[in-house]
Amino acid sequence: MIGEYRSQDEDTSASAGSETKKLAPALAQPEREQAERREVDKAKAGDPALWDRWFHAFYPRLFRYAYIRLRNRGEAEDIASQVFVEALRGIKSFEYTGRPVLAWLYRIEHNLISDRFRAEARRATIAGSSRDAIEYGVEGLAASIDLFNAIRSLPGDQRQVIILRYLMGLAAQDVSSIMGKTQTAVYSLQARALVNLRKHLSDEDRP
Amino acid sequence: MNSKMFGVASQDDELVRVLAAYFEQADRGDGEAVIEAHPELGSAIRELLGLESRMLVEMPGPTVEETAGAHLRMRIELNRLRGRGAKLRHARPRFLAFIGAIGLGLGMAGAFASGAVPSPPINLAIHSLQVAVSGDSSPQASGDVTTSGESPNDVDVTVSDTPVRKQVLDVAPNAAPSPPVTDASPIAPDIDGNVKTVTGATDPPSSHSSDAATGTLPLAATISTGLSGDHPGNAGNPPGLSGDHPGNGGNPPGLSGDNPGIGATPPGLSSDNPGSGGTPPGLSGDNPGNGGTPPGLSGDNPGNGGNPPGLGSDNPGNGGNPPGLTGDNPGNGGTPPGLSSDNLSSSDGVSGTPQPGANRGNGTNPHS
Repeated sequence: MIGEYRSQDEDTSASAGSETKKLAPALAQPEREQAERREVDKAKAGDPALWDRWFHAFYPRLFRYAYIRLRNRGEAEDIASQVFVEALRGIKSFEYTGRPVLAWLYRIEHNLISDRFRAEARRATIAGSSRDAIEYGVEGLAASIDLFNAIRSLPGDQRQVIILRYLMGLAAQDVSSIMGKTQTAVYSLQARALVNLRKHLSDEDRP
Repeated sequence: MNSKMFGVASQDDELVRVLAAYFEQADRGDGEAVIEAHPELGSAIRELLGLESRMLVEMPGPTVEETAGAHLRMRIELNRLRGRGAKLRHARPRFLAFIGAIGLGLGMAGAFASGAVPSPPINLAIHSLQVAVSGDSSPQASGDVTTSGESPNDVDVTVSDTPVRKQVLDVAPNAAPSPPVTDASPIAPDIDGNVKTVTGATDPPSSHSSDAATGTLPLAATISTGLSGDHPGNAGNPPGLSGDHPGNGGNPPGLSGDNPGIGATPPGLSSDNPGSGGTPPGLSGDNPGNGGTPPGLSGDNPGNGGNPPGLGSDNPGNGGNPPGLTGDNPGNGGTPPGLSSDNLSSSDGVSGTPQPGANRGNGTNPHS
């Protein structure tokens, strides 16, 4: 089960998926907002401990999202780390409105990736889905590529819900606020995306 | 076929609906209840949840090295921003002090420029120059001028006979006698060119006005800077300087106030200062101006400012009649006819004659 967004309680392990498996039950919305507002104030003051905590909580998700989008670990690392640099530079002007900080970071990353795509489109150097084959290993990459391709084949809303819910680890309420949909709609999109993914993967597994 | 498709579609729709309900209940902590409520979809739901787990596992996260590198990059940026903020905080007071200093300087400059704040050093410099000119020129050349120091007006002036003065007066043998000199006049040359020795104070301290009508003659040597009524005129040449420097200045009749005059040669300078009017050095011809008769012209009006013949300078000074004109031409500072006093003039017309203090009026027409 995908846990809720918890910036303070998450494991800082860098191993894949481990941080989401240890998620504690979500705080109530008012409590979460209150705690996160205090964190934003600390972040604006440049509290290193707070930024370290944010980094270890969010970086694996940001990396994973970037990796799905870019399919290159080096670029994913570059983009995910750049997110924190941009966040540090822009935290003074950031106004907390109750939406998770991770949603803000996700928006930063989304824009960075879009910029990267535009730059690469000009250079036309993208080599397709096997960009990372050498450094990541063919076996592991094949499974990832299947999953990546399945996710990429989803309709836009479903893909976004999968990314936000599973890769970014956001709660349905946060995803609904980001996407401008009701929570029920988010649950429905999530369920439909999973059904379509299973269908896509089963079609690929068929000889 | 369509029914089969609709059946599949409706089956998927039912699965999606139940799965969505499961997600919703799972967020509230009771997802299993949904699966138990739909046992026919239980296996499908668990298969999809397995896909969810697979997605989490197969989505590769960053390695430790990748995480450490990104973390280092973030800390560098954080330290950079914190350092810059600290620098700005430290620089702010210094910057404000700098701006304040500039503002204070501009304000003071504006106050001085507008006159709101007096600038005594400048005034004192001007007045001290006059003191030096008139005071220093007197003692050696024309006699002893000593200031008692008790009062700016209590000055003992002793003027000895001056041969040069006699020569000057010899130039105009028909010159009318000088107006009577009152006791208050410290310098009273007679017609023979002898200079009367006058000792005593000039104006009382209470009235420092130059009154030409009454003959009150301010003493040039007794310059009290900042006092009204002192009209030093100029003092001719400083001792030891050659050349004629009659200068001008002095108050015209009826005017009071400080008119220091110009053209006098300050002590230590050996240049010719022709003063106003007169024939400038090196020019021949008639330049009546304020000056007297140029050398070599037999005009009738040497004035006080003309050059006496035989004196090697071309600075007639001012005053006097231009050649060919007769009558009363008092010139600058001279006593107009009918006034019975010596107006302090700027030029005593004597070449190199250092008159202590007050200089005789120039332009007094001896032919009147």
